[in-house]
Amino acid sequence: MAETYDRRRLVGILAERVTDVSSRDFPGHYPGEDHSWSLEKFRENLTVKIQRASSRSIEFDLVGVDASIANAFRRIIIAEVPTICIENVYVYNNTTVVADEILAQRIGLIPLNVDPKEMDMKLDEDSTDRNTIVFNLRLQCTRKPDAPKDSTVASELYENHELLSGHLVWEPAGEQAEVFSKNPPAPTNPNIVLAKLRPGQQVDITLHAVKGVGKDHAKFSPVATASYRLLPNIVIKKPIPPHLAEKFQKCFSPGVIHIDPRTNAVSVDEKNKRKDTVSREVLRHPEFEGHVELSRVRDFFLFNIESESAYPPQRLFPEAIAIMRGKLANIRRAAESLLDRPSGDTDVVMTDS
Amino acid sequence: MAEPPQKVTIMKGATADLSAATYQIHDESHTIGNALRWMLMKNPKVEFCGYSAPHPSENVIQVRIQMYDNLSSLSALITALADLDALCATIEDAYVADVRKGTYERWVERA
Amino acid sequence: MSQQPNSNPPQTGRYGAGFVPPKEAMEYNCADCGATNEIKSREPIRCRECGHRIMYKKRTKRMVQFEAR
Repeated sequence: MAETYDRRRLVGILAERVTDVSSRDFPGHYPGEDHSWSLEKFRENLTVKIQRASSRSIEFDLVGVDASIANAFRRIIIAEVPTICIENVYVYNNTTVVADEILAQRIGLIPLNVDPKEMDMKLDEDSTDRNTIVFNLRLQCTRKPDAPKDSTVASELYENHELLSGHLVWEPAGEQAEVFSKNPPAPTNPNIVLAKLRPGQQVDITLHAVKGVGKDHAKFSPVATASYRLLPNIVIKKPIPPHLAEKFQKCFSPGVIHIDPRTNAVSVDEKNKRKDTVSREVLRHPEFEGHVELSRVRDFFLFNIESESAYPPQRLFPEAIAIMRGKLANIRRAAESLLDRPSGDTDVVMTDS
Repeated sequence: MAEPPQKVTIMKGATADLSAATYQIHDESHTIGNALRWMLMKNPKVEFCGYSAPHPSENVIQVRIQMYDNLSSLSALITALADLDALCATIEDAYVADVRKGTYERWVERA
Repeated sequence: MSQQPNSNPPQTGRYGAGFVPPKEAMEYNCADCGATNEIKSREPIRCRECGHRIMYKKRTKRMVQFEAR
């Protein structure tokens, strides 16, 4: 049986407009109803369900939270979960056609496999083995002596004709050799082409990698995407005439609409309805007018996180929560210190904006 | 700058009993602003709550809180922060529990 | 330009003994054939290998620092 949602939870999707977008579950909005914060009620209504995961991405449902909460986690994953990236580039030689500053920028974007937990943030102080990882990048392109005469393929003609992320060589310093012995610092992908070379061209570069966050520079962002969408909800109000079943099905994403092979009866596939893009195609056809209602569930978030960093995808969300809690604790400490102002003093601490 | 700016300050124009005040939070953005506003609005004693990020050149947000019954907005703020933390903990527990359960589809995604 | 000592500078004086004033040959790369050419000042700019008259200066041997941004 199709799951039905309380109308209050639905964002209406009409042909040319959306309705009931904002949440209204606040005290005082509905007379005689209690919508004040209750952790017990929240815990009862909350559902977190992992749907699908690979070594690079994760999809999960977060149900029963407000958009402001889901959005906070999404924003933190993109902009505030730290990663390690190359920040300083020292070019001793670069005779490739790629200009130094362009090559430096490209090198900065290489995702590294270093667990950010193992490093400190470098805050203006000097470099130490706790906050800086050093790499060397040296390559010289030469002719292959035994190359076939009539070949025009660079890989047959030349040695080292491509500068790759895999050419990065880690230079351990201090305790690093021990700390990173299990997982030596390297790019997550060794096949990123940084520059193309021809015989006689060479690069000799030293690189310093540091810890940073995405709000400082996008190269530090641990994800390719971290996004959510709301669960689509499709309600068939009147039976679809059997001869229009296939046309109706084609108005939705593949798998969303099920047609009974015997009776041609049309129904929504509850498992697959999340796949719908809510294109609203069905609302363009007059023969389906009044037959179907489209909406989305306001508190049903379908998260998709694609890691592009040292973090396994399932670790990113807890990492974001931990950062959120750190921020809250920080603000709370500051707010509580305001409580301690001298009693009887009616003057509050005031600052001009 | 002699000392780092305070994380939270009360802006000019607050009532003496703090039943209506605007709090300036340094180094925060919509991430905290919107979540905090939502939690404050869940408090029935809060008459009004809104926040703004006044200008991108200043890394601050301003949270306005007005209370019923001359209650302290500062207490409401602290309660909201505590409640948000409990909310985060609940979500974290639920997430970790479901990951541990491991009843999800695993698939191979090529690099 | 005027600072450059050009014609038979005295071997003693402002330059200490053993210091060779910058009359020494500089290496340039031919723009056409890529050959390395040593060219002294006032010498004709011409590749010894191919006769091409456009030369590239070599890259600095100094380290250059960049921010990866």
